[in-house]
Amino acid sequence: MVAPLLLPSMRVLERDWLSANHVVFFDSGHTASLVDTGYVKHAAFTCNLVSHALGGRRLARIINTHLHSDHCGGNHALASRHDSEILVPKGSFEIARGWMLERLNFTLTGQRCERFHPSGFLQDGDHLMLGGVEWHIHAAPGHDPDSILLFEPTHRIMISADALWEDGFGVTFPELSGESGFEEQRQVLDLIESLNPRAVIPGHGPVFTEVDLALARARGRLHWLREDPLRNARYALKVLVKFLMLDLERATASQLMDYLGKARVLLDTADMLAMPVTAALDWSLESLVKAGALQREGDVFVSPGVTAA
Amino acid sequence: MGISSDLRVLFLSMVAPPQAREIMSPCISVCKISQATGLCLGCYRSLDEIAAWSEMNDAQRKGIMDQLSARALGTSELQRPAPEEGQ
Repeated sequence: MVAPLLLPSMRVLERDWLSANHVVFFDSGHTASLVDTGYVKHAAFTCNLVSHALGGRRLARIINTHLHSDHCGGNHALASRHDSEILVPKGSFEIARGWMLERLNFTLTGQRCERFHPSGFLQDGDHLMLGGVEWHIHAAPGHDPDSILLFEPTHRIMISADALWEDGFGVTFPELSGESGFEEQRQVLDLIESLNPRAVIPGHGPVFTEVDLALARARGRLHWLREDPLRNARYALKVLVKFLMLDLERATASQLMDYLGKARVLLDTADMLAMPVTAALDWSLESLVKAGALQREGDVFVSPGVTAA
Repeated sequence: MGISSDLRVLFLSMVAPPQAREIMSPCISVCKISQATGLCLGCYRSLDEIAAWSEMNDAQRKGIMDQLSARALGTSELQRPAPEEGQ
């Protein structure tokens, strides 16, 4: 039973991979806050799901752990409906305020996000009242240099976003473009261990309590990636292609190239693997089909579970 | 039922050997509610069930999982979702 681990003033809405999990906080004055908002394709669904959880409260605040498309894609729709303020990690604030496409992760990865207007930022060391209790903000670089995590020290509850999942952590993006990310990820795992959370709400997957096991798995995974950075590159390629396929549902290799061929992260990753970008795409499609994560119908690749609806 | 998150399976297969784990969410990232049935077109859960999923115990989750195949086939009478706690 997970429920007693969390607070009565908060609710986790578990999503999947295209949309990250949300955490709703019931604040004073019939208002609420929300951590992370899913992918833009699901924005209408997310609005309904969040409204359901809000029970008539106004969503006064949206907080993003990091500005990846699966975490901030519902910002625009939710903020428009509720007139919410949007708080983002400090390192991403100016980039988002100016909507600098060449520096936003979703442009660099061929993904989509509707423009939103952040009203403020959060940074390491900040404290924030959510659901009537004080949460501490910690920098959590590695997956994204600007990522933050949230920790509530009295009940030892953590919102880890993509810094720690039950079975791993998010793609170490900076390493794909020749920047440091593995060392930051290592330090974040140490930070999480030192904070000693009792329950972790990850960006993807269910709330978990066996944090020591999760940390051990994450460290094993990190060690394996650091041993040979091409592993991170291959993994990233598959994740990026699969993510795009969850969005598109059906596409040919050449349609995928239209999205990914200009995505700098993909170009960098192909470079790392010393492959032409089309060959890198073909390789990842083939791997995903082999793993059962995609199906092939002639020239068309299909995300399993997608039916004509 | 065979509906599982294929991307989760992909991640897990690359990260760690399968663990003995709780019942996992049937979400497959379709996330669209059918106006006709009130159920998600991907996982066949209602909005109530999706919102409460994270707080359910395994028995409650299994109760839902056991209905999904029938819902998918459209042969169930679209029973009311299991009553929610604390609403």
